[in-house]
Amino acid sequence: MMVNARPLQRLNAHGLSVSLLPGWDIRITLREQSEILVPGDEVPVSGFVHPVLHAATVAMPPLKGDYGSHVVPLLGLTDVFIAIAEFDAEAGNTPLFRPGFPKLRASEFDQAALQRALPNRCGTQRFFTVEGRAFSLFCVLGSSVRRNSLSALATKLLQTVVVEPQ
Amino acid sequence: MTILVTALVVAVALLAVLVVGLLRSHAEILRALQELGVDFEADRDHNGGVSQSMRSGATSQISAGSAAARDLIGVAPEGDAMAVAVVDVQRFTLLAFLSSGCLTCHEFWSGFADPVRRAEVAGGANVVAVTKGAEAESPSLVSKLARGEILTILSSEAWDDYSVPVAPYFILVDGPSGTVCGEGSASTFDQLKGLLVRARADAAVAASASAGNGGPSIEGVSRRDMLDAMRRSARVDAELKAAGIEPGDPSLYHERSE
Repeated sequence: MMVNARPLQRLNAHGLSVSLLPGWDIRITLREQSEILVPGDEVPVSGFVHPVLHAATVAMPPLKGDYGSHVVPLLGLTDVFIAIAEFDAEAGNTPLFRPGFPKLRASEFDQAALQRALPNRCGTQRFFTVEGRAFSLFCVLGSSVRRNSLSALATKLLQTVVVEPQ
Repeated sequence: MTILVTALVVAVALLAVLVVGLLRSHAEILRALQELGVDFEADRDHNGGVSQSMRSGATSQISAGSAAARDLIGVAPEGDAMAVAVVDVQRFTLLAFLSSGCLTCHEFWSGFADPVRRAEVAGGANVVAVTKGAEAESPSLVSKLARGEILTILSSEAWDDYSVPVAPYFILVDGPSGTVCGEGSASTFDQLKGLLVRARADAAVAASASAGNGGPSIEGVSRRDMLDAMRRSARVDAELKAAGIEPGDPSLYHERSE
């Protein structure tokens, strides 16, 4: 089989970077922030925007939802979807967020973790802080039966994610 | 009177020079297009338009090593950094190299934005519109043409990687083998559909030949298309052999730049 001869590249944007492992569609998005401020405050309407990293082993259609509402229904039995969404840094001071990049365990994936229940799929969501930045990691596997191999596949990509300091 | 006649002669002479110049320019354009693979005589469509054949590799080319495909890296029209995998994936990917400026491309922009028409043409292939980077394209215009319906990436690097000569240009990538199984240009959606059917059928034949079984099969390719492809492959092989080009001949393969 012929392979990509080019050395492994990285996708880098908005202080997030990830290796372009073969077979992964990856996108780092930063939505447009509202220029209208909340009256009497310096916060934009709808809040400050932060980057979101999406990665999937299926062809990702044009972006729709931060947590993969446009991708999760497309996952096959051997596919994985990952969303890493940043929050306001202050959120990282709340008990919900744990310090350090999370390590996925196959046992923590659950069908109930999905926003919308779909056959075979299971997911997990973790909140964490790295380099003074607060994030949510949402990972969906295409098959709960294959959670061991698929969570390992997700971990392989997550191990290449680098967060730059704020 | 003499002055009038002289002026007339000079005007006619100038016009003659102009016409000769135009004819020469026209000939140069035709020559350049033919060098790119356009066959004006053999491939006229029903509407009288001219189509260009998709340079699908013959069986010997594909099985022995077609051009290697590469993943796409660039930015979305909205400015997001993005990478699209086309190699090491269990699907075909149709790369549609388009621009916002060319009139012929507009039919493809509107066609691909329609999910039904896109499915009719591409079958199960993932369609990715590829324009040049922001240094040569208007991202806002590209975004408007993609209508949020077409997966679109701005990547001049991809144009270089695939040696794209002109827009619109289409490349069909076989994900599992990581190879280009057909490429070329078309001026209408219907032409593209026909070219893709042939390219996929050729890929099925090549896959069958390399697998060593007698019954080629590939999702979305009819038996008739595959038989046509097998006949076409046999004819191409015979013609190449008659020209003294045997399987494995270096002239059959074109290298992509690193």
